[in-house]
Amino acid sequence: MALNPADADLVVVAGPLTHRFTEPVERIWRQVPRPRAFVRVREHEVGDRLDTASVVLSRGGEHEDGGGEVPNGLVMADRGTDRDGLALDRLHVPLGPLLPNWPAGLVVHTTLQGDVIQHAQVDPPDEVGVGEDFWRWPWWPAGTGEEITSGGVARIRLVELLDALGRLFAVAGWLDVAVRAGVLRDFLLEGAESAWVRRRLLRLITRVRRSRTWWWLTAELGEHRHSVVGDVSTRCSAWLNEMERIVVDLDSTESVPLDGLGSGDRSVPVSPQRVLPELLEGTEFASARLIVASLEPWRSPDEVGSPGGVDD
Amino acid sequence: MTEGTGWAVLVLPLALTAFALLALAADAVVEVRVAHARRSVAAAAADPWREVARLLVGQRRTTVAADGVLWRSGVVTVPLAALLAALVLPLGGFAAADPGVGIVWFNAMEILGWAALWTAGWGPNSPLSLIGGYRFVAQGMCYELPHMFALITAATGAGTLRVGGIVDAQAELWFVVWMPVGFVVYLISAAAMAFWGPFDAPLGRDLSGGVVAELSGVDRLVLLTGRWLLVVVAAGMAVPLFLGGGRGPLLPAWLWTLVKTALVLTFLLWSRRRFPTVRMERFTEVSWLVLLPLTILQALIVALVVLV
Amino acid sequence: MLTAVLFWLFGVSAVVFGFLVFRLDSMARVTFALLASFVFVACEVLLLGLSYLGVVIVLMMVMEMVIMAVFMIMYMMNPAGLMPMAMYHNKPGAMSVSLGTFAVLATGTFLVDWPESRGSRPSDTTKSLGESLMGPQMLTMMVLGLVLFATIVATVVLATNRGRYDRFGDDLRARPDDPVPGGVRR
Repeated sequence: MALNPADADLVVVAGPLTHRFTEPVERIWRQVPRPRAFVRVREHEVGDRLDTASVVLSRGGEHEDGGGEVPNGLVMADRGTDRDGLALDRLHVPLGPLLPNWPAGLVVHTTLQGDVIQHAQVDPPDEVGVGEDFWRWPWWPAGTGEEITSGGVARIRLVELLDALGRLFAVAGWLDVAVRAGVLRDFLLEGAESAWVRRRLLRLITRVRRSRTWWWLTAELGEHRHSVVGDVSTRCSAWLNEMERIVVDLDSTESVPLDGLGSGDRSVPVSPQRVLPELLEGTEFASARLIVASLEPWRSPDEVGSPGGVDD
Repeated sequence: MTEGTGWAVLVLPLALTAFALLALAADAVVEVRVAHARRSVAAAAADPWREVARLLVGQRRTTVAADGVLWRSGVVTVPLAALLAALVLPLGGFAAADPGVGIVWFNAMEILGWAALWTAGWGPNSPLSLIGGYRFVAQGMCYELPHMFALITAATGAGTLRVGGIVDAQAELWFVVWMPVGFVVYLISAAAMAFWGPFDAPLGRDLSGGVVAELSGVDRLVLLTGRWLLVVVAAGMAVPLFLGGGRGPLLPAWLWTLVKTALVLTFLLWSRRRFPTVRMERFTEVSWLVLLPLTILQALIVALVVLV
Repeated sequence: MLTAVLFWLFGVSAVVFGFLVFRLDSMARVTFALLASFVFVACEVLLLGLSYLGVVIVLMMVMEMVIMAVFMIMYMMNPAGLMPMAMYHNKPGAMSVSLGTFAVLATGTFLVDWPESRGSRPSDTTKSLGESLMGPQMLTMMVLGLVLFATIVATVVLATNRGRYDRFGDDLRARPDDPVPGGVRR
């Protein structure tokens, strides 16, 4: 996958293209250098569509004549004092909604001085539920009379955690581990044998736990006074512990009662929209990305409870 | 040490590029194994060539209100700096040039990378690229002084700034044996100098590519090739500085140089996979409070040994 | 012959880029024009056979100009120079003063009665430079080093708005209160 439009040949829109994403996707398409191809994929036709795209690309790609690029909304700002009290110029840079290894749909408006985020503001989500259905996967059979097993629940939770870990490690530039997490996630989704998964997963957990560099780099990062638990490293550590705990349930065929439907134990201690600005202000760009990635799995406020989150 | 200018102009770029391509292919093969991709090793080894072809036919893009002059000159300077630094790189008993100030030349050409990366990040008028450029300057402030002291330690041990002289001075004992700190710091700073993992923050994934975020086509190819050349040159320089140059049993000197360079390069490739990206907000203190005093101490010890 | 051609080439280029410093309209381009000018000066020094000094000028100037660019642009962060700026004010006055100074200095170089070179060229200019710096010029270098070091310390002391009591608390035993935690636990 390309990290930026400049390196891309192919723009693939998987799933519905909702109102929120139309304009960003168009902007990205305009930035992709030729030869290029645009593909929209709905469920179950991934392979066919990608084959067509590769044929189009091999013929020199699609030659759509667009006008010039639109300005990317970069505006000059007034000066403001930085954290050392120096009056410096600021840039207003929106992050998201489409950024690699970034929670889908999240938009954070930042004010940057150099690479320090002086001010951050989170857009309220206007279309929550994009892709949310996917994470209710173990509950799909509900209503069809099929049984939901705790093994299935463990599997989808592992997938979710591995996905989040993969993003965190990718943002941290730990590509090797990120790729391994991604591979495990994909194998889990394909229904790989649980003994094999358990072995690989435990090896991955051990490797991350043993990496002094990792804990040195993430300690004391993104600590919040009262609402978010610990820092980036403790949040990561909690994920590792949870994975280690639930991986033994993979084989379990025990039936799960339906009253937990839709929520499971996936409660989030805090509403990210509420805490995020406070966590990001004063951090450097790389730290900010780590903090955002460490707050996953991303949940919209309605799913957590009241729109303001569980605490204040 | 024999010098040859023709060698420099014709063979050096080709040889370095070939070396870099081999390393790239090896890396691609490892990548396939890590990713459990259902592809053959041969197909993976051909990846670098496919990527070169893709970038050659790709459209070169520009951005709104870009500073084209600085942008493109920054991009071109990266491979240029690597090639100029490589001029003093000996292969066995042979080098493109062996000036009396070889070490200083090598260092000065590396530092061209500062200007190159910063202008390449500044040029496209894109915040993410710009932050990438800034990050490299911050990184430079951290790695450069320990790096200089590591170079100077080797020069002090040999009593000359000439690279050939440094190789000759290791006839009995390789410098790595009695300047281990210098060697380790050289490896760390060489990775940082080539913005190579774990010091790849200027091109970081969190910046969507950083300095290369807006580069496509040939421009992208030139900068990324330059980066690989820098890594190869940095690995190659470790050999005459600390690993006894072409010395070794049985094999001819040029082959030993290649073998040792490949070993150092393997270490650099491995460390990129092994460690997460080191952020300068954390590394600055380590560099200035730990590495710098250590290298000064190492230089002092070497100076005392040479004097006594 | 070749030396003479190169000498003029480097010399004219250095002056042209030096002039561009005041003509270009972006802080970044201005900085790198100045760098180019310095590099051409370094080439002149190399032509003189002072290889160490020449290469060190390149080395130091690249570092200095990049750092300078960052500082200059910190105060006007416009990538690619969206906002054009001018490096001079009072255009006619500035131009006449600078061109006048240049003309006076350039004429001066032709009028001065330069001493003839005595003795033979040393085979290793780097070595003789080092011996001179560490021998007869030792006092100069020591004083210079102290002055530079004092300047650095003084600048940092004046610039920082947080001393160690701000960081570590009154008894200097608290955990440092830094906006961003550093890499060494202290």
